[in-house]
Amino acid sequence: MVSTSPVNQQSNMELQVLVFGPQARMVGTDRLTLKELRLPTAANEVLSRIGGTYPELAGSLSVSRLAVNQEFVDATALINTGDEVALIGLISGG
Amino acid sequence: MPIDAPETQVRVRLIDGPISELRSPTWVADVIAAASAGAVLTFAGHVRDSEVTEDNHTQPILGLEYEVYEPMTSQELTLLSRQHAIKHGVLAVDVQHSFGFVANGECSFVLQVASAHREEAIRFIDEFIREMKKHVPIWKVPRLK
Repeated sequence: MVSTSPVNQQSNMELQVLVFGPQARMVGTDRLTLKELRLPTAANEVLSRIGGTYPELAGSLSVSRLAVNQEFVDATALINTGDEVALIGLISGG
Repeated sequence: MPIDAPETQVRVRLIDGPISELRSPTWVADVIAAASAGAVLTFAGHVRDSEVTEDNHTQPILGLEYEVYEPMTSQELTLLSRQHAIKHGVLAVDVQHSFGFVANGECSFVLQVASAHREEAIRFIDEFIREMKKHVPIWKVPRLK
């Protein structure tokens, strides 16, 4: 579960976000790096920062969600230091 | 590992490469022996030799590279199986999905379902696949010719 506690609040943190499949090919890496984030921060803020930092992904973010510690989270969930964050978009099983 | 729940058996496996053996899971024999299932359906998904691009062109491919995000992929497949088994009254579900490279014509996905009557299993298969494509972290990237 994602903590809503204000503890671990830190400025200027770097957050890494795992990325897969077609989105990873678009940016040429399987790990996005967002610099100078103030943690904790909401999932929708992280998505917004991804769009700003990686414009190649902007078109696919409307069909993407974030997973934190391997669980889908909603837009207002808080992301803390040490969380494993993944961008789940353009999925296509089967 | 099989995961038992009251009246529903769910098993999920991720397979490295193509699924070469289309073997019935052991629960098929069990449910048939118990005479509780009147229908056992198997859906097998195979890789086509072409992909439609974003600009609507058909492009020939050698196969598909599948990526998964474990353990989340297995967890979401299990959750989806349970939710839809309860919704449709399905007795048992067995899911196999590939990761890694699967060439044209090879099998990358097998879904086997047992239910009392065929309607539940048919509805389950259609709905499960539709929801899997929206919610389960599995990606495919075409390997071009």
